[in-house]
Amino acid sequence: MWQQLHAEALVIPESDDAAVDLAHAVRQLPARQRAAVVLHYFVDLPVADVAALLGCAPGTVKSQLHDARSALEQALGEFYAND
Amino acid sequence: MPTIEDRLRDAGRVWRDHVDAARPADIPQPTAPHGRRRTRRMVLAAAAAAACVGVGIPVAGVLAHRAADHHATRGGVAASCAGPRLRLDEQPRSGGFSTVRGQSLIVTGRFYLDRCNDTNAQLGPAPRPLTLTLILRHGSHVVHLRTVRAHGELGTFRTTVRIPADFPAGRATLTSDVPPVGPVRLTVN
Repeated sequence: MWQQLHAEALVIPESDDAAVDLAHAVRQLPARQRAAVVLHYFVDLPVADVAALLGCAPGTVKSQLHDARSALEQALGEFYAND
Repeated sequence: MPTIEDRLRDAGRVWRDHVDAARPADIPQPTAPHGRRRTRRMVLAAAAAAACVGVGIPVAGVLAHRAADHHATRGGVAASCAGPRLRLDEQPRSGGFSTVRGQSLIVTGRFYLDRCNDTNAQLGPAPRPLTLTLILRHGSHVVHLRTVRAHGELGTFRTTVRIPADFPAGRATLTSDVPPVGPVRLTVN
């Protein structure tokens, strides 16, 4: 269900290429990390509220956000891989 | 160099502005501006929460419908299934790009993927990056600059091409055999 919401909801204005790239990478994250990222950064909820929505501890959300940021750095770091 | 945290916050702000601008009729609108924002946030949060526990199809549908509407009416692009894009490193955001014969240019590309299934891994295999040929065209004069292989989940590449010394002067188009969303237009002097 989360995938259905998130995939359709993350529509980024075409003029912002970097945001489009980032949203594309966000969608490759595992579902729980993606949920934490979208609720915290996109819906702009504090960690405590994200934790309440996801039914887990705030520390778990922080951990998921950390893992998600690491995964995104890795994904976007090789964004323009040299041929 | 912005951190991934900065980029996420920026992207989130862009997305919220984008969603707020749509203002569909099926979202309740309180009178006070603060209350309106709060309600919109609550709708978003409720949709997200409901979707997470598996009962959010109607609310998720509102968001999906709003996103699709906005895409259709504002010229936005869904993050999913974006078409291939080409760009020159020094290409300005607007206005023309000029180069001279014999010059080397750095070309970047993305979303060179063999299929469109980046929203749900359960629907089939993940897209694979393509091999493409970069083409420089001036009227009927066509030059195959080089063949490159895209990489990764985003189908990206970065390569250097050289404008042939004998290429005709004038307006030219940089494109690829896998048609990009918009070719790069440049002037060769």
